Amino acid sequence: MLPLDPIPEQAADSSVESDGQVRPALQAADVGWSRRKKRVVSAILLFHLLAIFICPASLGGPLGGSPFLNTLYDRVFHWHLEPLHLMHGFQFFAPEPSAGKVIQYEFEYADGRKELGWQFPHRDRISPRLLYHRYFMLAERLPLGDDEALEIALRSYARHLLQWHGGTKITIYVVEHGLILPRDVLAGADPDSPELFQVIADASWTRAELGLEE
Amino acid sequence: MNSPKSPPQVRSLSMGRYLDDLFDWILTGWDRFWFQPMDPIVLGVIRICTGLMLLYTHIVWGLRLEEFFGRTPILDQTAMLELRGAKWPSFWWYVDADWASVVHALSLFVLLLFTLGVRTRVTSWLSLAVAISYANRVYFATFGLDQINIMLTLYLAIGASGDALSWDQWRRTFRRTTSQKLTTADSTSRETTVQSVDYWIGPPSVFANIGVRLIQIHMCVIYFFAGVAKLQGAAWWNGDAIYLAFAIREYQTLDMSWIAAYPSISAVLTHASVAWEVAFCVLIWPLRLRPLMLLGSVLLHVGIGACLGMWTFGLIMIVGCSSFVVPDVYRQLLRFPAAEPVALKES
Repeated sequence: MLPLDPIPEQAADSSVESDGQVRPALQAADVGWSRRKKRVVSAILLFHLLAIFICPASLGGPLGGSPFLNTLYDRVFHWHLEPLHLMHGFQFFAPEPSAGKVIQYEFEYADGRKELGWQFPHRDRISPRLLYHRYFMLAERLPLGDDEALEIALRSYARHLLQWHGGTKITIYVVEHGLILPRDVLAGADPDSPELFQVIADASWTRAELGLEE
Repeated sequence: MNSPKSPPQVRSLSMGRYLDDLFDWILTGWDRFWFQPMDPIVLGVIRICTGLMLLYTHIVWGLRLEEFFGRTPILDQTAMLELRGAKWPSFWWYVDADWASVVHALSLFVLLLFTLGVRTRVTSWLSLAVAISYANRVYFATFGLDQINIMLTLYLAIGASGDALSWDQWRRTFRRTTSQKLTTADSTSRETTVQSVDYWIGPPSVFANIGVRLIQIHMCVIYFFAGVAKLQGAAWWNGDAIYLAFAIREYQTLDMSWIAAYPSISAVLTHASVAWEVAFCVLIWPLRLRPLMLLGSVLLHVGIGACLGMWTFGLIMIVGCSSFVVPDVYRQLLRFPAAEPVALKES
């Protein structure tokens, strides 16, 4: 081993703002990385960085995204990020926090009896919190703007629920739980009052329609 | 001593020279940013935290395995295929419901090995496959936690995260010292070259640096777009957004309705959140500001955890932010000696 070269004053100063990387005198430890290897890795890194930036950028906002970025993402970066499950917009509580969603369902039995099932998410019935949040997402991520997609998703939920609970028919309601205004809070209103709940979509299926055994 | 001052040389200004200088500056900066070796302890700490979170996340899937991965799951395969347009990679597409418990148990075992740093080169990629498979299969039940879990696992796999605080590193050092003892006559003098810290932390590497840098940049992208997306909503401008977020009953774990009486508190928290998120990608890099930005991160995510119940998401975001903590801080916290400079290699 060769002794360390003293770190030049200027280099030592610059290391103050560097980032836990090995300092200037140590750069030579990097002998294993040839120029060619660095170029190849740099090209991959550049592609990946572009992908993770363009993906959320292409989503745009309430007024829609850029057609150019959308096309670029769909044609080039989509195939890189989707398999890695890195295709996200990171729009947490954006453009603004909105009403919560709840799925309610009602079973109908052969004797004509109707029974309201549990709703999900259900704080008292589903724990730990992470599991509750899984059901919360099942309600929250429904494709509400796309009727065909919404029916596909609700049909899948219906099939599962009817298979598990029995009954001959199921009706599923997507319910929006409106947010209580500050002035109503101050007036003592109940944040769970029935007026704040509104059915925004519903659908019914029989066992036969869902392909379940009678 | 300096010689008598001579007038400073005035460099001729030309676009060509400027572009040359700019190009050199970018290349040098890029090379320094990505290709300098880094102490692997940062990735070691992040691997353990991410591994524990992955384990917890997947243990919780196991509580309702039948409902999500069973014979009549809540999101059936046909629906997932129609809704997402393609069968994105997941081993769950090929697992018969009778074998779901076995596959789930094996997945947990892989995640445990990854957390402990056992055969990390293999188990890190297998853990990534596990995390992606679950997320792609039950896509509509996933959220930010799964996104960050997968992002971190990918970069930990790239970054050779088994080089620190791992069974792999301990075994490597143990084998090296044992073979030295067996083959070298003056074993006692050789033994002194191996310190206890070597059992836990390997030498600096470029891969460790690349892994950390990728996490850092991805965290910047996340916060930047999280902030920019908020700027499109009126509530984030008029200061009501934090109140509204607290008012969503399905999120709420702590009754924060008292904020309705103090709109200025909601406004301060709203504006501070947006400013912090948008500014993060710039202000996190200067070392002097970094502790403040990291403190902001902890406050924001602990707040989300306490008030909105998303502790898992909050914690994993803090783990992502911990990539900005310099290695010597981890060494101090774990009572390891500070990293010594690496000597030049003999050519």
